[in-house]
Amino acid sequence: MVQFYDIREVSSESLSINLENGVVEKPKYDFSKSKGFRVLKNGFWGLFFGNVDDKTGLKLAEKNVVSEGDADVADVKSKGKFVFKAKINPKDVDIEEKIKLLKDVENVLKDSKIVSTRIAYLENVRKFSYKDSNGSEVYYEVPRIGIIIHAFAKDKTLQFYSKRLLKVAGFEVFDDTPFKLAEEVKDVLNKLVNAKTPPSGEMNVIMDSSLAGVFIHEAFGHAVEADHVLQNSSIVADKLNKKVADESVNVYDDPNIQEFGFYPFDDEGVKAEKKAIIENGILKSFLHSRETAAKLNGKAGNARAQGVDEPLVRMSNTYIDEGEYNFDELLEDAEIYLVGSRGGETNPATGYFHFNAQYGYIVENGEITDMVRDVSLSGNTLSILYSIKVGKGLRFDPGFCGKAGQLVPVADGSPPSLVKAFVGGA
Amino acid sequence: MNKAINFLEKNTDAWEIFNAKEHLKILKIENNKIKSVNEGLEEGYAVRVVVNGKLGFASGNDLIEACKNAMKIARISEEKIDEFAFSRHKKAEGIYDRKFEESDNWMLESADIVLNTISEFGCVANSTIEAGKSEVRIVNSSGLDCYEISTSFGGLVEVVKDDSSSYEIQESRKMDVDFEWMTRKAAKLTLDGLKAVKLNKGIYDVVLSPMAVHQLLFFALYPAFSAENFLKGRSALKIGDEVGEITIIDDGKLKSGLFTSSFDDEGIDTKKTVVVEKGEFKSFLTDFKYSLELGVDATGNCYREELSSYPTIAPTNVVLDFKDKFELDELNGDKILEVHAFIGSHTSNPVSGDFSLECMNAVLTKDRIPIKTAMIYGNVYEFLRKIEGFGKDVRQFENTVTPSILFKDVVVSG
Repeated sequence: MVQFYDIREVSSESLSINLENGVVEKPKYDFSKSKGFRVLKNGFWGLFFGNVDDKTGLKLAEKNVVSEGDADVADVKSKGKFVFKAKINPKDVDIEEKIKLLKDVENVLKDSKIVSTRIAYLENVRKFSYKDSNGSEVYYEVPRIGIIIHAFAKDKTLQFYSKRLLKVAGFEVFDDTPFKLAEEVKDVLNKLVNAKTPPSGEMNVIMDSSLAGVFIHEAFGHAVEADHVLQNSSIVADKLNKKVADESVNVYDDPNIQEFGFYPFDDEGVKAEKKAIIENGILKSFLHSRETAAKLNGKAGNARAQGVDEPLVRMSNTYIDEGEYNFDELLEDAEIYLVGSRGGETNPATGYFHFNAQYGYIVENGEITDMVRDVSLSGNTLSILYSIKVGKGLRFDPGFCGKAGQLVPVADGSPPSLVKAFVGGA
Repeated sequence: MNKAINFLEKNTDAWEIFNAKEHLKILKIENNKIKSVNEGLEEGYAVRVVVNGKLGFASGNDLIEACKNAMKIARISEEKIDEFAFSRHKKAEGIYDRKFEESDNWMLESADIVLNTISEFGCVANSTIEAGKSEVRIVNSSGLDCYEISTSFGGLVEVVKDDSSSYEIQESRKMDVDFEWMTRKAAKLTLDGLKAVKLNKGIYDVVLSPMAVHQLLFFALYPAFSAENFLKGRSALKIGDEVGEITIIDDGKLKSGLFTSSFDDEGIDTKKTVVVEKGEFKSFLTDFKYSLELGVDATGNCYREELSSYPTIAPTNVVLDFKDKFELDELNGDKILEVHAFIGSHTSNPVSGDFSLECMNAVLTKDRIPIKTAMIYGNVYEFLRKIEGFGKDVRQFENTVTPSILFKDVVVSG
């Protein structure tokens, strides 16, 4: 018996332009549209994606129900329409103006040590339609826009550094921020090419907002995705309503914040809602799709997909909330201060994580001293959360999160935080 | 397509149409149960045009719309090219298996193998089993019109017990993926992991599995092979540089290779390129545009990650070789560490080659003692000089065709 079906139609319109060493290269448009169909029958999911009519799509999805299972879905019905109105619609801005922005930003990067630059402009509109067998009907349009500034410099070593501004917004997002970011890229690279390699060993580390945001996303966020819990591959599978962090720690996932992970409805048509993950050190909830919510008695609303791929349990804007320590207080106990992130990876089953900072500084007697390059941080998530000291000044950083071959836009946030973890370097 | 070609002939100086059709099937096992089957059928176009000497690109489902968008964006491009490539092709071997049409049964049988095998170990298996068929046609204004059909089959098996886990991946052009081997191997490493102990920091000889070798080199070394990166000042390598004694060959025609094709993603004949010969850096990898800029023959390394991706330079099958070989079983020293996989390899520095990576499922060779955590760090160019020998367990993992490799005197932190 068919328990549930849904139909998604996603269209995406994108423009991207690269300015490579001052030359406009790789400009491209992509207009694509596809449909995804899911049928849940006898506890087993059959899925199909492709550009076919609804009847055919559902039939092809049902054909893939080749066995029986124990899946069910939370009974959710939603209706709604949301069209994000940007102050300045990027479509109303001449493409020449977009190129001028890139060239103006590139001018800021001019420096004797910088040997190569790449500045990328991106804009995209995602149009999402959803209907299901419960009678849900949802539609939204959300624009994303941004600039990524990349530069390469050479002195003692060849190094690169990048900063990005990516938002759910219109062209109004380009105030003076891209120019400030370009200045920062230039200044950091100037020091980075002659920076030392870092010390290694277990030490007291201040993660800046960006790195601490990646930490909470990678090291903890993935472990509370309920599909990992059901796959037995989460270190917190048996820790709901138990203490998992110092009582000063509060962690949330909130798709309603207008950061890069924003969405009004998830890819199962469920209205977006803020979720408390950790409050006062206690694990309050996992993140759920309709299916995991039914199995674990949770709340759906975190199922997301790249295009019309299979919706998976995902994060949105995930953050550690404000703590009580001033930056100077964190510095007092710190041995190294790590800034930015070049990405990371975690194993939610074991809790081991590993990420690379973009650079760092040695801290001596509460003072920031020499810059270090190619420095990485690893450790075990839970032991770090028990001893973390969370600072003040929550900031978000945008990115794309990968899971099972699908990328979705997210934002990670945190104030600067002090942890004891393993630092390594080249 | 003819309508689009007529339109492009009239309105552009040069043009190229890339048409891809993909048929993909994925079976998922979650927590020792078959959970879902997903199937996709997609077709799309990517168009490149030259208008007034400037190159534009657009992609999508609608070919005429993509042609118009490519022309529109060429107006503001400053990327210059006169024409697209024409090339004759030697046919690639072993990349298509007609049995794809029977893949529904194969996926179910493979799932049974995973589930039967895991039941011996008392662990949880999560797995994906995939079968794909891909058809590519490239037509351009230089007279090129080529078509190729290929298949791929593969799977990932992750095995979990308590706080230990491991995974194994295998891919093939044929329906010959060994799910029993993958499941056994991941299960064994997972069970070993339950007994893992802390490693003392020190200098070890390290044996990287083919998977770990790929994870390291793909992110820290291969970007330096790109002619575009070299010409734009983003490669640490130049012709004649010395990188130990390894030989590295990019072979786009490798029989049954996972990245083998008759032609690359702009229709240029693929071939064997000696990138590093006995430690000497001999050749960059190129696409048509950068082969012209560099004044060398194109190596057939143009690659589109997906239909909407701008064509770029990427390695195909990278075959590694070294003069000295060893038997893994015969290695016997107090300080030899075998590494199955790395966590976080994409964080390596693609420009400087610096890396620091967390080892997953590492084991000390003597007495087979599993290790809890271990971190290896260094610079890939210095690391290549530490190669002491190659094993004999050659396999292809993603791009890289390699056996396990023994590196001498590596600093490992516990």
